[in-house]
Amino acid sequence: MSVPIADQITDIVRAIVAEVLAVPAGELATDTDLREVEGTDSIKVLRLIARIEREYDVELEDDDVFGVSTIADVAGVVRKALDG
Amino acid sequence: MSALPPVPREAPRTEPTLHERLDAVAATCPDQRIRFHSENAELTYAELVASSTRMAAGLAEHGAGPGDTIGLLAPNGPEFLQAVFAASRLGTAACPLPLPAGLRDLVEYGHRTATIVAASGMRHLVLSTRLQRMLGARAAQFGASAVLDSRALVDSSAELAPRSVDPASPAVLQFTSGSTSAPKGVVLTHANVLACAESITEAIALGPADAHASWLPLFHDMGLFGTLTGIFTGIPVNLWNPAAFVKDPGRWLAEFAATRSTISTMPNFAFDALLDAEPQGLELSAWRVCFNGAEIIRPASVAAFGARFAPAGFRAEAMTPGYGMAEATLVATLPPLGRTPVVDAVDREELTRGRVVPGTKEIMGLGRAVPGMEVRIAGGAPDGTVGEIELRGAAVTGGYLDGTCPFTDDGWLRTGDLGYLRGGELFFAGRVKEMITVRGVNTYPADVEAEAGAVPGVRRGRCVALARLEPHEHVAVVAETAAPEAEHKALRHAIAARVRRALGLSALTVHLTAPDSLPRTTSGKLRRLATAALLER
Repeated sequence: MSVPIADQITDIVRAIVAEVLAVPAGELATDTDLREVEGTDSIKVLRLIARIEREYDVELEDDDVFGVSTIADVAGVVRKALDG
Repeated sequence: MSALPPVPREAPRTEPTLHERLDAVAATCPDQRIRFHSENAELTYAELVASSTRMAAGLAEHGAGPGDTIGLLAPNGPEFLQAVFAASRLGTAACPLPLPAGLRDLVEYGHRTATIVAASGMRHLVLSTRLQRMLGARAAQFGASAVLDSRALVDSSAELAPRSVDPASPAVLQFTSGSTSAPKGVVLTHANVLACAESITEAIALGPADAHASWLPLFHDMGLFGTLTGIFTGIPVNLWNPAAFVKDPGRWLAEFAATRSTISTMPNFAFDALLDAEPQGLELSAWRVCFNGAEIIRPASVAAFGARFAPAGFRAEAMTPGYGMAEATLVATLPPLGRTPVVDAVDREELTRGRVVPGTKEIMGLGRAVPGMEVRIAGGAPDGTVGEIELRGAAVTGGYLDGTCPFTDDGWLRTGDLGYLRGGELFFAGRVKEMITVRGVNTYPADVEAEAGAVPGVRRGRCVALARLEPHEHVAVVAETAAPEAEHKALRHAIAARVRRALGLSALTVHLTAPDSLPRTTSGKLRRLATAALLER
């Protein structure tokens, strides 16, 4: 039984978010607004994006990253970059 | 009273406006390059002259003329500099607008930008072609009557009739001061900007062998006026977007080293971020002036950076901590060239009471007044006295756009910062103004109060936010609540979440208190002082 790729991406994004923002992954729902997570600021968000880019060896477009707010959104941007 | 003998240099240039200075410099080095590394673009000086003239013609076709303000939304690409010089050619002021960062709430960003557009009275907004997809639809709602695409303007085939521009007219309108609800535009004339460039040029003996490098946003004073100073010297200029640095500081450092640049501008946090970078294989010996400013400078950051990169050729005396602000165009004090950083050690408690007594709190020496600038404490208090830092000089603004003037009766700029002088050296000791500066971004307690006071569970409007410097610069917010103790944790989270989302501020602590425990006074200043006393208990 194969796990849908979308869920894998979401789980990895969640793990990276948890690590970069130093919060337990269990506290991060897919619809958690990343702008509201304790300790977040624009610098950490950019580092987060950089980590995800390295993980997947993709470059996420500023236009796409701009305006995302949840883990599900970020996973969607990654999926789009991988498909592209 | 510089410790160094005067450095021989060419006679200062005398062209009185930004574009005339550019044109004169470009005539001597037309093929010199300005590289925009993050945008895969470059301009020669000659191209900057020609393209900024075409953009000016394009703006004139849309009705822009003397006395107008031209808004500007662009990354660190050619169009930013083209628009600054196009505005200059027309006798209009360029008003750089901040770009949204990271996941900043877009509604909040649009609101803030629209407030600046309204305060500045701008009719024309130049929007970078690169930002059309991201911001085009939103920019139409910022309130400017014409949103103009940067590439379309540069492609203009109109002719620009030569016109004479008054050096005392505004060249740049800088909106980095003032709260979200009441943004304050610092008016900087051509004379102010050129005086600032001249001060820096003389202070660091900037010359043809130098090359300038910066990843700071050009909409920030340190990014813009540092870059213009390089351009007015006719040297190679290397620019990156802030994201290039923040995403991968080590990669940026390697790219910076490859350019063999001699001058850089960064705030203190950047030196901490670079500690993870690998010194092996880097060649940093060309780096001779490493400006550190725009937020509180930590001696520990400076020392750690120097130790880590000494093996790569970084020289301790290259670190150049300075003091300045948008109201003084950029810079007010710098250390003498070639001096290693100077640190004072004072008693923390005594300093908060305004006394300088030996102790263990380390404070970075910020150098002496740059040429053309004077610095004094509280009307001319003697050495070692803590008081408000006051400035006077040709680079100091004549006032804010709204007509308010932050000056003493005898005409010195009141900085709102506290400091003391020792043998002409300036040391920063705190703030009179209610503001914190973290990562070069200013945040006002009033804005934090507006957000926190709107969170359900906080008694209506009953909260006070304070700027605090210890243990690091942050805002403390104290809110009254009638909610039971069991709900306090969730309420503190909700307040912090809302402030982070709206203001992008993570340097925040949240405290809850019982109803009617906060001081009741309509004076924000008194309320904050009384609340500070409450927090100390």
